[in-house]
Amino acid sequence: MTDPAPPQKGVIAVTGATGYIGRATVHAALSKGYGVVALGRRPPDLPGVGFQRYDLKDEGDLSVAPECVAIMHLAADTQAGSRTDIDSEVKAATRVIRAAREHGLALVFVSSQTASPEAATNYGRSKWLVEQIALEVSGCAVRPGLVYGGTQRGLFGQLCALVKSLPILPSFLPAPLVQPIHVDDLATGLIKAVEQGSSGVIRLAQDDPLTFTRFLRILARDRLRVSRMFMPFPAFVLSLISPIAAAVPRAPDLGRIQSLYAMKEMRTSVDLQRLGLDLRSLQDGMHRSGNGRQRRQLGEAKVLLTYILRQRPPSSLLRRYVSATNALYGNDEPLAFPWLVCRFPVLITAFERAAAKQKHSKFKSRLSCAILIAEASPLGAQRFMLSHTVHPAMALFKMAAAVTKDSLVRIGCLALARPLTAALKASEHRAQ
Amino acid sequence: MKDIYDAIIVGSGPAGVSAAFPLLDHGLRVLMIDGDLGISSHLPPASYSEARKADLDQWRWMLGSDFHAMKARAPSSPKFRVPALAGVFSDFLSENRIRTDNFTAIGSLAAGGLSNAWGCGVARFSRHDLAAFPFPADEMLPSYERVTRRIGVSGRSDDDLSDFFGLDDWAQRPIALDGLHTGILARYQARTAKFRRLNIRMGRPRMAALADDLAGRKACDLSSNCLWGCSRDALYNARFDLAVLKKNLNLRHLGGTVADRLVKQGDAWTLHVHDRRSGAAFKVHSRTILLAAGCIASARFVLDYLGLVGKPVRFFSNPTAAFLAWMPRALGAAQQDGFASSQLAMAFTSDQGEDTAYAGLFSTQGLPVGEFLDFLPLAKRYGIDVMRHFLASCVVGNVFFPGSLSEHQLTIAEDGSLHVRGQFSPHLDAAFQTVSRSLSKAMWAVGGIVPPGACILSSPGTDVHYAGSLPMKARPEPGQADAFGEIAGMSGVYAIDGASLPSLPTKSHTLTIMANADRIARRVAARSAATS
Repeated sequence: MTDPAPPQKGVIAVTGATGYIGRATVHAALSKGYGVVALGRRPPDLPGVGFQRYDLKDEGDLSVAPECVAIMHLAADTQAGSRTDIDSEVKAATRVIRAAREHGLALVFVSSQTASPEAATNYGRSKWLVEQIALEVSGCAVRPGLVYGGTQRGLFGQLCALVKSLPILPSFLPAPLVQPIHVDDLATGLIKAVEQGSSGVIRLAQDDPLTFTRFLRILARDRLRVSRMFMPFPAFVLSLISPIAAAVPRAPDLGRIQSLYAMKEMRTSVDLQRLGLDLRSLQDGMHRSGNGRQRRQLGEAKVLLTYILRQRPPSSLLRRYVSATNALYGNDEPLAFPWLVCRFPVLITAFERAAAKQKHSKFKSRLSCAILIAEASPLGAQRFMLSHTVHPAMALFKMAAAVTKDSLVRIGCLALARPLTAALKASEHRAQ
Repeated sequence: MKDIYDAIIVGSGPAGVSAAFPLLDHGLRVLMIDGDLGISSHLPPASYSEARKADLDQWRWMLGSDFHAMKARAPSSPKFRVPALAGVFSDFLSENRIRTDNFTAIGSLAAGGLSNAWGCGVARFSRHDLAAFPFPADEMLPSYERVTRRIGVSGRSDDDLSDFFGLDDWAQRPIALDGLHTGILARYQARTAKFRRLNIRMGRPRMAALADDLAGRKACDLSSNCLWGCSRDALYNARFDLAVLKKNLNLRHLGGTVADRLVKQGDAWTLHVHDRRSGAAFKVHSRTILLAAGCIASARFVLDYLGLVGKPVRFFSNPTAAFLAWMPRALGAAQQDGFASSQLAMAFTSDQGEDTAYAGLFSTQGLPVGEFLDFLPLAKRYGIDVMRHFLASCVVGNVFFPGSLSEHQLTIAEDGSLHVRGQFSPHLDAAFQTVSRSLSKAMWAVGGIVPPGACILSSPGTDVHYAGSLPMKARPEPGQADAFGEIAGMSGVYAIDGASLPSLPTKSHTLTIMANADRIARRVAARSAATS
C-alpha cells in the first residue's frame, strides 16, 4: 500500500480509478482537495494517488485507511460488456459496500441508466441489484446518462471508433433517445454527492433527450471533425444480428447499442439542481478541450476580422485576436452572432447601428479590438492604407461609395431597429 | 557608515541630466536615482511603410506582446498606447501616490523620464517670456547654448519663426519636409500678407532631432517611426546623456529606486527611498538635493516636508487642442515616409503682439488609421474605406495655449497622497474659439480645409507640459523657490525641473527646463567648491 498525496479533506477510496469515468473522478477529487486511494489490481499510473490491492474476485474483509472518508465504487467488468456475470459483480460490490458500512463511510456507487430489474442486459440487471444493496446502507447510486467527452474510452470510445471507421453511419429507426453527460461533469457530480452526503438514486444527464442519430452527428462534426452520411437502419435488424455478433470474439458490442433502447427517459433536473451541477452543452463538451469556448472565440474573431478586412483573415490573425481578448476580458463569454451574420459578416454594419447609442457596449469594445488586431498586420496595411497613388476622382468616388453604402444601411436599419437591438443583446448575453 | 554624497539628483530626465553635467565637471560626487526597471522595447525593424508591408510581427511593436495598446484604448493620445513606451509611463501615479480629478497626470519613473516620449519641440524663451523669472534674461543664455549644442537641435532656417525660437546660432539645418508640408510652406510664403493679417507666422519648428550625425547618434532617415521608437537615436532622449554621465566615476546611478520623502538631519538631508522591485526601503544622504522628478512629483517632497497639508498649490500646463486639416490637392496620394514629428510650426499672436497659441503640423503617416475611425460617423467597414483614400491627404496638428489659461491645483493630504485637480481658465473658451477660427482661415489660405468638428480641445493634463508648482520668485514664500531654485525653508533643496518655472508661455518649455537646471547646478557646484 502506498500513501496518497497529503489530503486536506480526507481520502476517497475509488475502485475502477483507471477507467474512463474513474480517471476523471480521481482528477476531480484531487482538484477539490481530497486524497485518493485507488483500489485495484495493480498500482495506477496516476500521480499523487495512493494504491491498495483489490480484485473484484477477492473475498474477505476490505481494509480501509483511517483517514478515508468515502468509497466510490466505479469498477465493473467492462471486458464482458453486456455479457456481464451478475453474480461476481454483485459479490464484488457487496464487499465494498460492507466495508463502507463497517467504517461508517459515505458510499457512492456508479450505476447505469439501464439499471432495472427487467433490464435487457445482465449489465443493467446487475447494476439494479447492487443499487438495492447500496441503498440499504443509505449509500447513493448515481445513474449517469450516456457518458461522453474527454479521452476516447468506454462506450464513448467505442462510438468514436465506430464513427471513425464507418463512412456511412446507421440512423436507427426508430431512433433511440439518449441523455448525454460529459465525463468531467459526471465526475464533479460524484464528488458533490460525497460532499453533500447524498443517499438514494441520483440521475445525472442532460434533462432533454436527443436522438442517438443526432448525438452521432455532433460527435462526428465537433469531436472528430469528419462529415458522415447517415443511412436509415431498421432497429429490429440489430436484434437479429446482435446474438451472432456476440458469439464472434472482438466484434463490436452491439448489445450495448441495443441496450440504449432499454433506457428509460430520466427526469434529471431535480437531481442536478440538488447537487448544484451545471452541465456544459453537448457541443461544448464534444470539443476536444472539453469546452467550446475557444472555438466560439475563433468564430467571433472570424466574423469581426472578416468584416474589417473585407476578406478571410489568416488563422494567425484569428488566434491573435483570441489571445488579445483573453488578455483583456479574461473569461468573458465570446459574442454569439446569429447564423446569418456568421455567413455574411457585412451584416455587422447593422449591429454597429444598433450599438451606436450605447455607452458601454461589449460588441463595440470587441469590434475596436478587431480593428487594432486587423490593422497591425501586413494584410491590415493593405486594407487601411493605399499602397500606390490613385486618381483623385477615383479616391473621391470610393469615398462617396462608402458613404452611400453606410447611408443605405442606416435607412435599412431604421425599420429594423427593434429586432436588431434584440439580436445584438442576444449575441452579447448568450444563455449557456 | 553613512555615505554622504555631494549632491543627490532625484530623476534622470532632461532636467536631471542637465544638472549632473556641471556638478560632475566641478568634481562633485553625485547620486542620481530613477525608477527605471530596464525594460527593453521592441522597435520597428525598417521604415514604417516597409515594416507595415512586410513585418509579420508588426503587432509586437504596434500593439505589444501583452496587447498593451488595447489595454490603453481609453487615453486620448496614441503615445500612451505605444508598446515601447509602456514602461515609460507605468506606475507613476501609484508610486507617487497621486490621485487626480479632471486631470490626466502623466509622469515617468524611467531613465530619461518623459524625454522617452516627447515631441522634441525646443525653443528659447524670449525676454518677454522670461519676464516673470526673478533674474536677468541674459543669465539663461550660456545655459541655453550649452544644452542646445549638447542635445543636438535641427531646424535652422531664415524663416519667420527664427526669432520666435531663438536657437539658430547653435542649430543644425532642418530635416527634410515631405511633399504635403513642402506645398503648405510654399503657399504660406506666397501669401504672407494674408497671414500677417491673421497674426500667424509659419516656419520650420526647431526640433531636438538630428539632421546630421552627432556624438554617436545618427541623423534622421525619414522613416516615419518617431512615435514607435527611433532605432537611430535621432530624437534626443535624456538616456543618451545618462550613458555619457555614467562613464564618470563620480556619478552613481541607482535605477529601480523611487524617492519617498525628505528628512533633515543636522545640516544634511536624508532621502528615504524604496526599491521598486522588492519594496525594500533604505536611505541616502547629502547636503544638497536636486529635485527633478517632474513638476508634480517634485512638489510632493516639498509640501510633505513643510507640512503644507490641505494647502492648494497652483501649477500650470498648456491647454491643448488637436486638429485635422484636409488638403484636397493631395487626394488619392499614397502615404509617404518622412519625419513623423512636427514638420511645420505656427505661432499665433494677438493684435497686441502677445503669443496666443503655438501649433505644430504633422503628417498622418506613422499613425494607426484606427486612431481616426471613431471621429467618422460611419460604420467601421465604410469608415476604413473612406480613411484609406482620405488620410494621406490630411495633416494633423496640435495647438498649445499659454499656461496662464490653466488653473490646476496640487494638494497634499494628511495621509501623504497628492491630489491633483485640473481646471481650465474661464478665458480658455474664447481663446480657443479665436485661435481655431484663425487656424481654419490659415489652413484655407494654404489650400486646406479643417472639417467641422475636426479641431477639438483636449482634457486637462493631456499636454504633459506641467510647470510652476515650486516657482522661482524674487521673494519666495514657503514652498516656493528663490532665483536659483532653492526652496524657501529647505536650504540645500533645489527645484530644477518644470516645477521651478514661474510662467509657461505657448512655446515648448523642455529646453528652458534643461537650461535652468544647468544654470542652477552651475551655481550649486560653484558654491560647494567655495565651501570645501
